Amino acid sequence: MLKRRKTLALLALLGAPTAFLLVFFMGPLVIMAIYSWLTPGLYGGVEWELFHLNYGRILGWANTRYDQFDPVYLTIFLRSLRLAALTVLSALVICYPAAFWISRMRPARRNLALFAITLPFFVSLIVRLFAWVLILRPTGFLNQALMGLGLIETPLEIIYTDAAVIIGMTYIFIPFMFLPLYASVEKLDPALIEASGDLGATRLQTFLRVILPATAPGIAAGAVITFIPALGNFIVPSVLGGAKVLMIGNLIEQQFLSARNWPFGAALAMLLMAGVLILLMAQLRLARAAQGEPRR
Amino acid sequence: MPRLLEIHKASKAFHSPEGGTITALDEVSLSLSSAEFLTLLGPSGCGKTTLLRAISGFEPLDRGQITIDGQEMTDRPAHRRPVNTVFQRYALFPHLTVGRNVSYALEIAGTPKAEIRTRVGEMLDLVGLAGLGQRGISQLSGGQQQRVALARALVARPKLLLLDEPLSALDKNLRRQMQLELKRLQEELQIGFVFVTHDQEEALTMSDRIAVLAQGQIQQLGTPEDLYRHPANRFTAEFLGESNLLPVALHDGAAILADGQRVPASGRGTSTLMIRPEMLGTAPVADGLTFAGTIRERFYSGTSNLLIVETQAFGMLQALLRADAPIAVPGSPVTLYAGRADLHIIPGGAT
Amino acid sequence: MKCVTPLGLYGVLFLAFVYAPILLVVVFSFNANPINMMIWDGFTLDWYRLIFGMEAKAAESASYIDSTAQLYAAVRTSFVVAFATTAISTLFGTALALAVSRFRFRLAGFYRGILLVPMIMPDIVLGIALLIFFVTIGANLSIGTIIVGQCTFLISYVFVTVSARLALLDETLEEASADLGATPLQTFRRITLPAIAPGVLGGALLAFIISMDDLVITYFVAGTGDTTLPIHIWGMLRRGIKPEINAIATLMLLFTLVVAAAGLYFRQKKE
Repeated sequence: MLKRRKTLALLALLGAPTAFLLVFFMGPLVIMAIYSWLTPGLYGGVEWELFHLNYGRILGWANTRYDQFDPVYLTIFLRSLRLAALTVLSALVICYPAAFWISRMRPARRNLALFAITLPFFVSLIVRLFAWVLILRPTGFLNQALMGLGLIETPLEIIYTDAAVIIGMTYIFIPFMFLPLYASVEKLDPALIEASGDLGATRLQTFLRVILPATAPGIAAGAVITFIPALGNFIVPSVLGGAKVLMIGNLIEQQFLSARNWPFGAALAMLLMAGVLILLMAQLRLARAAQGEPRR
Repeated sequence: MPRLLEIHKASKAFHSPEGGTITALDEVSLSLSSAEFLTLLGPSGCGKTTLLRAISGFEPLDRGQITIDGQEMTDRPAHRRPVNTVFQRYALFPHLTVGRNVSYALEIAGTPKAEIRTRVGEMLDLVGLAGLGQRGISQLSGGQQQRVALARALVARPKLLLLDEPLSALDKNLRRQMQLELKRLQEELQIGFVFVTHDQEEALTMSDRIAVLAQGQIQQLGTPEDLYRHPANRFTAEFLGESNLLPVALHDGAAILADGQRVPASGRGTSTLMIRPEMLGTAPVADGLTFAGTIRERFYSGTSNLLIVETQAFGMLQALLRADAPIAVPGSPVTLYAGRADLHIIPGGAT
Repeated sequence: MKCVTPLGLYGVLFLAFVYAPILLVVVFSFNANPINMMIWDGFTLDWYRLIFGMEAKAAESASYIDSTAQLYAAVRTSFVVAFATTAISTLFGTALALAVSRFRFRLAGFYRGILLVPMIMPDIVLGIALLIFFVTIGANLSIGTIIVGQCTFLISYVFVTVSARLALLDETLEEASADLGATPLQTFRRITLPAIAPGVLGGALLAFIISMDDLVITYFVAGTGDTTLPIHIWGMLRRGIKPEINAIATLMLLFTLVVAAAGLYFRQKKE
């Protein structure tokens, strides 16, 4: 009787949310997976017939009259990987010293500083990106300032380039990189750095042999959770990248809203998901290996 | 008239993380008369906490029965059982004041406001916290929190109070004081206490009866004196107090020690002879046992001297002597005596 | 005098990098220049006046801005969506957190894992999956599909926040309550709920802010008539930047900062 009552309470808690997520979360993912194997209709829409050339067009085995392999899709994948990687790198370079700066503050100031860094995270994404449009435009703040100082004569073309996309993504993902980094930097015992110096290591040696290995888990975690949303991002490239900078996200969006080839878009999305999953598994493995390994 | 608490063949097994099962309770039977102070004593993992949680209703039994005051409890959820618990780390509600913690059970029961106020006041008086009703829990010391936990558990006037190692978080002096106070409370209120502890000294000081548990079974149940003087098995002998355990052969109405000395005893086979360290003395006793040896170490504690004496036949023996007894220095020979009345043959095999 | 270390100097630059773009928007929202918003042309409150439907000081200001009717509609939609999604996701997320942390059942680990997925998967994938789903089942894209779509990932955020709070709650408190005669429902209301209330509140605030800010999911599952505020601004950016956008952005900023600061403040105070 005790058991049955508990089961009822559990079902009452789980029932509605489970049903909701099964229908509206799992359902869409399953249908998308099915869609990626269906035949695109002539005028948009879809025919319920098995079709593998959606993947073939991307990955290389499609060579029928209507469906040809086009290396441009792989190029766009590679370009997305590159832009995401550069975003991770620049966020890391910016956040790493800042993490040290905050970890050495007195606790009261430290909380205030952490608060100050997380606060912009809550500011609307579109507003933050808009700010960078204002800064990077040909008539924008940066060009005005540089021309005003006499450093340049004609406006720099920054907006609608790869650089603008990287700047924008770096800016919006700073909290993603900063928080895991900070967590591992904070755990670093300052005595370790002193000990290393005491044992005759130069600053560079101390950094490479003590600080970097000790904060590696934070770097890895920050890199992964920055890389994933950067890889699939399509807002930043469409606001700051214009038509020239195309990432996977934009390509997928186009299939749905202008090209109207939904099965092909679904196949692209499936490949993006697969990439993300592989990355997460790798990170999980690395983290586990690092934990399981005895410290030396 | 029914007993206050009756436990009949209670059994409970847990799944271990490795996939096996751990027997926490193995057909434990026990009963308690009203106004009795019963202690469940044993090492960690012996089943004492599981037994307590089975009584309070947090741990359903696999088999067996529990009745309280003649009423069947086995399938009753915790909130419908007429017992209250003092938890190990008190489990005081952090968002409520001292007063609201104490009044909790009465509020739940729908007691009229005026009555709640008087009874909470009485309870705070009883545990020595008069006037602290408005305080927050975090403003109290460990000892005060302990008293709030007691008041909270007693306010509904349960016939049976369960205490799960309530003193383990206190420092030694406070602990001693609370032991005496708990005993006083129990006698004053005339209700049943089931007290769980792994501290044998605590158990001996407070209890009317002690149940020694190990491996999910009751090893022995009896008064503190009974358990101390006549342990039923080797486990109880070793767990409660210090002891010298000597192997003996039972033969022809006597127990024969390794060096040939004899004491009258019944039975056959091998067994163990227990001599408590304080029963060994340097003054000769007629009609007892004699152990000659060499003093190896001596520990002075103010009230007593503990000697570690090496004997040829039995290895090291411990003897606890009065501090003023004349003692030779380590390395010198000594002869120890034990009176026959102070010996105890542990029943059963010599395991 | 305090000595400035290189690290301290870097820290100041870092904070400047984080805050300068936002401050820029705020400062230039008071700029009178209607054509190039980055060239200062005197202080004005006209853009704020016009957003709130008042007369502008400079007569021609009104001719530079978009109609406010669409803006109002977008704000309204955003609030309706945010309130609805916050209510649903707080309820579901809290229920899931309670079930997973307070009951021992075989699927608990599965729930814990699967609920992380919506937070880490690329949002565009979830967006198009929802779009395909709604079209396949023949649902009309509307405010309803926005609400359902956002809830699929907001539930996870509430779940994580409430779970973190539940992990701090000592289970023996609930046992103590039952021991003192409280039914499971009474225990929940008197002990569990007050203890997790900050977590639930925090989760709800987080869900509210994320909902108000969501672009990607909303972009794919919104009907043509139902535009939320972020989508509306995105549209404005695409069509060409109008002077009042700074003022709108500043007001949004103010709103999210107040909500977020309140949330963070309450969380710190409770701890």
